[in-house]
Amino acid sequence: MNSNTRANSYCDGLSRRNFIQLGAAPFLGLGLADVLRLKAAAAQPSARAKKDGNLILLWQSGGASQLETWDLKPDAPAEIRGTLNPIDTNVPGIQICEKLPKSARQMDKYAILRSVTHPDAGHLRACHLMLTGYLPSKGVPVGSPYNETPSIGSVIARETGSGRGIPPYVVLPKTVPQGHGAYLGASCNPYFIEGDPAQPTFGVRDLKLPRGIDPGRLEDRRSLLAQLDGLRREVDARVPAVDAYYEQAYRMITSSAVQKAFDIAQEPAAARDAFGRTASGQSTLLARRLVESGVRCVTVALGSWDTHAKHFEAMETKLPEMDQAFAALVSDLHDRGLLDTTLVVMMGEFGRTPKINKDAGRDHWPNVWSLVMAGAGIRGGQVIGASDARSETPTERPVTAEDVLATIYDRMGIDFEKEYHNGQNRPIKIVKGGSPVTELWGGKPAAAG
Amino acid sequence: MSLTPLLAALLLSPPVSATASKPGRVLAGSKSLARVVRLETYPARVTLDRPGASQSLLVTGVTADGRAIDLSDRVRVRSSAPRIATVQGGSIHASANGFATVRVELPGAKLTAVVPVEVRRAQEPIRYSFSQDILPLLTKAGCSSGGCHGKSTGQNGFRLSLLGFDPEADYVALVRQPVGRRVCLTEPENSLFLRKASGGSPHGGGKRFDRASAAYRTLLAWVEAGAPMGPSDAPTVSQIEIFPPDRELTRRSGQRFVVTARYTDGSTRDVTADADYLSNEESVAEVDPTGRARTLDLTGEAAVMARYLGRVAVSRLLVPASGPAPASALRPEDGPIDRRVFSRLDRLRIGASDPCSDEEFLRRATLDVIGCLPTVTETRDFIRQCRAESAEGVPALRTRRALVERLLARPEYADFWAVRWADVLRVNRSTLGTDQNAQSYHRWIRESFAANKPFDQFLREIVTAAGPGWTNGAVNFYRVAFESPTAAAEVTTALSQTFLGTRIECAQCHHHPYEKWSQDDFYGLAAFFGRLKNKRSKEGDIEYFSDAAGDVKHPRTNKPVTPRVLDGPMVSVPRGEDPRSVLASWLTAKDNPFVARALVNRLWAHYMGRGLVEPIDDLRVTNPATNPELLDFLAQEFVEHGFDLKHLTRLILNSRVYALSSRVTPSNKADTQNFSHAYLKRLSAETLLDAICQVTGVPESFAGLPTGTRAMQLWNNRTPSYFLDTFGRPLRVSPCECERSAEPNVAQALHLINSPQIQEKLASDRGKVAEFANSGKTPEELVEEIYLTALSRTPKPDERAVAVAYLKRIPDRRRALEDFLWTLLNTREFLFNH
Repeated sequence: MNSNTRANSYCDGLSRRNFIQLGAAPFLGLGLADVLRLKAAAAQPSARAKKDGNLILLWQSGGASQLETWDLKPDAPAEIRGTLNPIDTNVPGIQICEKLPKSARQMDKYAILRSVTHPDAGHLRACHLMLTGYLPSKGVPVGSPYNETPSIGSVIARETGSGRGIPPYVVLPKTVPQGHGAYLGASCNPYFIEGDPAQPTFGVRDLKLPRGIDPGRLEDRRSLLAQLDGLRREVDARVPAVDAYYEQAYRMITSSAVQKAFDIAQEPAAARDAFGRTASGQSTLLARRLVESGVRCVTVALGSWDTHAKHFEAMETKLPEMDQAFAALVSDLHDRGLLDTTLVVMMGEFGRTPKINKDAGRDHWPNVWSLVMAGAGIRGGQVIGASDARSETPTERPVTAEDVLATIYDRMGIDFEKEYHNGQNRPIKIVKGGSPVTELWGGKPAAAG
Repeated sequence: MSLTPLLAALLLSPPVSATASKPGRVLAGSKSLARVVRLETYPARVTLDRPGASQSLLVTGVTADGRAIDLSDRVRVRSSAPRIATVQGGSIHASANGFATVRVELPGAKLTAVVPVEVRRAQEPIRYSFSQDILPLLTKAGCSSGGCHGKSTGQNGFRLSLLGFDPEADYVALVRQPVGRRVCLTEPENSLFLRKASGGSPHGGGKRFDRASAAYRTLLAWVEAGAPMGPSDAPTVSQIEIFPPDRELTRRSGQRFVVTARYTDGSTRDVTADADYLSNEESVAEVDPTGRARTLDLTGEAAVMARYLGRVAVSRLLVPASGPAPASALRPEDGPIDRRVFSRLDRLRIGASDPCSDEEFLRRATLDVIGCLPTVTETRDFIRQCRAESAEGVPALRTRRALVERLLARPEYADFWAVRWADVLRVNRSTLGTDQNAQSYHRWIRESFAANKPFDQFLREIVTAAGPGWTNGAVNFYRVAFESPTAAAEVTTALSQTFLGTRIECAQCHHHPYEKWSQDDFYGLAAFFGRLKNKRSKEGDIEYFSDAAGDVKHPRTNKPVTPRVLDGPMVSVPRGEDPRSVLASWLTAKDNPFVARALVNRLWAHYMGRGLVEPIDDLRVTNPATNPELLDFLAQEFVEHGFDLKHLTRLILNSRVYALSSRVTPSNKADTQNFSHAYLKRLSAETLLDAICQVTGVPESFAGLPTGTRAMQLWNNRTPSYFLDTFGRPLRVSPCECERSAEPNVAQALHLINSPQIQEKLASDRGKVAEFANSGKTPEELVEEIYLTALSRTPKPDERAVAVAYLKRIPDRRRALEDFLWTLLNTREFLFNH
């Protein structure tokens, strides 16, 4: 039945829309941010959740295969198990894919969820679900990658802001669909950095003052603009984002800390080597730099995993890159003492079909798939949930998309049951009907779903 | 759907009750209730002529001033003969043959209505039809939805067609497939599908219905009857109707519906309970699964769609503003566009903004029609002519009309529209293969607009295009899908989205979920391209031609499909002829119901900042225009004037609606769909870059192109430009205009504020700033000149004072002027067409 055989782009046309430039969020005023933080604190998140935590989301766009990463089925028939074998990790009893040797040595620092499940096999809808917690209400999101409920990063931007003059929510090195602020406003959209940080020419544009302009002159211009922008007040009422972006741009230009944070060249060569000199590796390293500098959520697009054809060929390059970046990140955050406050999540919108198709590919499989989480109080070295012998359904502790998001928000110290009002002034919970996977930090398992 | 507890309580309250006067009820207030003078029922009389038949009843109170209030949930309904017909849950149910009357009473109001009921054939055995009786229940329960068994891979081995579009396959899946034993004839209640859906067995999709529900009872009875497929000649649904088709409602009020299916044998059936419902504007009115709509706090209109067995019908609910009506915007001199827009505003009780100034009109029209800023000379001349015609503050209509004519005659008009059409027609070098293809395609589009080619001819040339792409630009429409195994389908998708305003591509794989289109409709259209073949020419180009024969196969039957236009009969095209010319004749016929409407909506959206239908290429019954009368009028006008784009443009630009101010009033500030004021439009990427170049006097250099080439003249949308990409230039990979983005982002702000590129333009020795600095003009003169240059108007006194003071304060004149121009470039007024 499946006629989708294009390997390098989303089969439902998603990649067509990657042209959209994601926006960026402004800094919330400290006062407001404080108020919001107080509100979040009043919501009493579960034990050990770190308030003002950070999130690094390693996004496997298109959906990575559970069978070639975290949930191998060596005893399944060949048309399911594929060609890759499991290996031991540094935690006895837990095995992962042989193409992930570096991650295997860090197994004690992260947890595997092997029973993630949700109902939708379409890219756009599933991305919408995994990145915002909701399916789009009107069928397929028509004509646009914009999401109708806020994405994780946008909620984090809204709830925690940034105290250090840097955008709270950054996406790199490629756009991620459904990553917008929706009714939280364009001010909670991500700041998007395009370009491969592994290239020597990489730099974030327009951050340094151009030749002939010093800070005093910029200030002169800015105050003249404030006096002359007659339409501004009126326009702002309808397109508030424009002004917010200007505010943010000024801050970024004038802060030396911000300038430094974006300058990956300041990392020692050894660190750069450790993450791998690939777009994924260096983007992950930059993500760590940004989190250190006050960015609250960084989404790193780890390339496309939508392997409807020649799946195993693609895994030969994708897995080692991912392995190196992920393992280096977890170990580096740990060494710097940042792992306690930083949650690392690596996932895509779904897994892939157990049965290998006629094009040696795997198709979309939301029924059961795996993701990994580290940091922010999560106990490493454990596996939660299980799938059946053919990786078709969860057999233990199903974890829904809503549960995944509730878990993330809980770790960020955000009350995921808080309501926002959407454009129509209707109250909508951050997450509806999910509960955190408390076993991740040693809590009692929630009642089976 | 989240409902407030109060609302939920209301929706769940028993329909037949006498609780109208309980405090806290927010349905139509007691005041309006007191004004109800008459009760009307729908239907007015009921005939139940099937065993087990029922009819839901809608009761409407009519007030003295003619308003209609849904009282279905507030009346008492009783049957005179429960032995013949009973009343349950607001519906009348057949019990035994005979006659009865149903009496409707509004408690406390002494108003009644009587509904005669006739019951026939109540005792006959029920003859089930799987497609007519069973499938709708599975669809309504969500079994065949795209998230469950209806997705292409099914769910847990059980696969149904999406929303039941393929009854034969669904019957096999449910009844005949040996695995699973979904239907158990020996122990009907043990049928797996019933146990799972009613909560008796673990089910990933949860419990879908209760064992006590009517749906469960029907499904069980069907299994007990042997789970038959039913007669193959059973009548099928030909259309469905929803009542009321439209209604004006107050905020926070409710409305129920009755949905009736009409069958091919002329019979009808009440399917209110089994239809699906969806609101297209949930901020105005939401609808629950039982078909009860509820208005919220917003002024506007919502279309509630009912869907049953692939057929759809729409009810339009209008919610006017509360409070006193603002002054009518209608004027005696109003033209046809103005009358339609302003009457609607009156009906919604929304006020219109004041007219825009002549300067605003000049800037707005010039940007809209040719994508350029007016020059200083043009602005000065225009203002002088306006003042000669009328006093300041009185729109100079003659001068404005003359301006529109001049703009339409400018060569930039063709540049501008070539870019917009190159977007949706996908002039994209990488998909077209070679520079020659893209250039030739772009040139053909540009020349068409330069010559104001009638749109029907433009469309015919595309659809019937043949020959090599390097010399016949139009044929590249087909080149976009070159080498795709599903080229005919891709062309069909592009054609329908671009020219029919219909996203029929849904029907490529399954029945369109919000439309009547089926796979048969999609492939009927695709079949017109069955004979289109291509070959490599001697020069290495690809040449398209119509072969003597060729076909497109239906994916389900794998049989050749006979060409058929939408809603039309099958067309047999003699061997050797090109079916595309038949298609072109249909597309360009004066009575084609799609093409003109899609085009005028697109043009209206461009000039007015919002389509009458949004998204602009998704016109369908279930997504109606906010002003259908206006859409119809524009389409008719366009066709009657020979598909003349410039005529249509003139009509819009010379309307009073187009020339409203963008400044809002308290009454219209929330309006985003009725054109009560001019909506702000951010300048497109190309327009903005060209405007910056014009204002600074420093042209952009594009790689490989002569200096002075404007962004709007680029044929290649991949010509490297950080500016254009950052400000939303589309990739041209889909036929959707939405690819072009006007969303703001911080990268745009950083670029305008802080980029070396903009600073170089300001500081250039050959630019406007240098010229101004050396002109020997006074600060006052310079400020006026630069305002005219950048914002196409003279400064207001306070602006003049601030700017002059700045120029006087900074000793370095050149630097001060750079700063001043930088400032104007960074105003919202510059960034937006307002």
